[in-house]
Amino acid sequence: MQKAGHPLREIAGFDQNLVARLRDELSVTTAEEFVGLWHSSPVELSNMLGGEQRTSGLALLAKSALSKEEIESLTRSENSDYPFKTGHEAPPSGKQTF
Amino acid sequence: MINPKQGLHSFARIYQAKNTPPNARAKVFGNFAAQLADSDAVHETDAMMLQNAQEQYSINTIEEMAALARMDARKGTAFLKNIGLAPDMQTRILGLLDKVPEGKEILQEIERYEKLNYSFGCDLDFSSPPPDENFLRPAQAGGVTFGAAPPGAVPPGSVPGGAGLAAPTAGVNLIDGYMPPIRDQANRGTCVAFTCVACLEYYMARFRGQSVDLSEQFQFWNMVTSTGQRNLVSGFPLLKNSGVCREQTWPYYGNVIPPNDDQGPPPAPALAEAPAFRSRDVRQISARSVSAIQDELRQARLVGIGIPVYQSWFNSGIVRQRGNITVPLPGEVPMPIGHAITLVGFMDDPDFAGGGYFIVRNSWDHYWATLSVLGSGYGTIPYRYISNFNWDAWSIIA
Repeated sequence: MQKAGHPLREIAGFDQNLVARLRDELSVTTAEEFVGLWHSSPVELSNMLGGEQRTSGLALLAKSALSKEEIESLTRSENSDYPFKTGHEAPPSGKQTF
Repeated sequence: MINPKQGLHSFARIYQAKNTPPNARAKVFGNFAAQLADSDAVHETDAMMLQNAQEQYSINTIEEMAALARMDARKGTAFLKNIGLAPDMQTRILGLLDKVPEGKEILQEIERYEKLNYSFGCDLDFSSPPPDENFLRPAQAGGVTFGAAPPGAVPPGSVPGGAGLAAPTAGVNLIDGYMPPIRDQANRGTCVAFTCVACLEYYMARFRGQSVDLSEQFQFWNMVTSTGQRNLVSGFPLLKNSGVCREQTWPYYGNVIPPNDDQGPPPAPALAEAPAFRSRDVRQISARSVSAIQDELRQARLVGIGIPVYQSWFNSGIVRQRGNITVPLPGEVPMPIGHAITLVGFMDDPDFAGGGYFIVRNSWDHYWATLSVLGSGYGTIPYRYISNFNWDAWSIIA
């Protein structure tokens, strides 16, 4: 399935090793997904990619591939007032699965 | 060749007009299409949903959409929502048509036809399984088999290898005529009940020819009062032991009623009715085995899973739009409560971590995966998420 969006591999500044790493480890392949990660988990993303300065630079590059409307649309979705409730308890302490 | 929709205004035409300089739109596409393009009635972000409506339902004109929008407004139906369109589409379409002369004419014409009475007289036998008609046959799209039922997953009365069956492929997609509509858990932490019930409804429709809307409220109440827990390992065995009453017998209410978390007790007929709607057997699957889960899906059995939830995808705008869940970042801590979802297919694909993805059915109405290519409410989760983080997996086997 071709994900809708702007492929990271087509954005100058995202070298192919980085693109492959994001795809294989996180399943992140589009500028939209990268910007989403930067918004939701900036600290963890910076830790993974070797520092805040480099990561924020990459986030700006990814954002530059998106139109103003696309960024606004993502922001609207992030701020959705739908509750997105969950409700499945974790496995007993010390266990990874049930 | 005759165009059976000649004279109607297709959405493709409106997008073409949007891509034309404003001062040339009316000349090239006519006044009405130009007004539609100028207005805010059709957004760029609607494009994927509209393409899906065209491919899945052959609905691709403003007139067809307006007729459905009127029906939803007048009769309280949810056709636009059920075909995956944005929740505000009805207001946008009808609002615009009511503002411009040609739009008013369209609405008047629709209204005129709405008043006609059409009689029909075909007796329907609801006690027998539906015939395996052409519309339920598997279809290929984008390398995925829609509605594939491999040998061993034969509806009662079908002949193995006959119509309705397809050879296993690298992908399976069970979003087909047996799949119940996307449901909404709303403001309650009841995802486990929604997952259990989705699996049971699909099983009953596909293998017993019995299409029935079952009560998530009953399943949730039964799980909480019987086990005190909220997880699949508590919920799935109850599908076999107790069954689930019909939605109409005990409807789900989406808001919390403190302090009555399970909203019991059930109405008197619910307990008596539930055993009529139960599975004969359920099975726990190795939670982190991608191949074991694929094997279940190849046999047309939906798989309920329980997963930890991470902020990186839970709060991501693009995941809420497209529904493609991503793998947690290194060192990321899961949220305190996980989520139950239903797997309804899979596809090998090197662009997804782990070499492919499972198709996810969620219970957040059409507010999640609003622009998903699989239809709103449906998304994907990469194999790697399952193999590294999944907590639990269950299916109904009989």
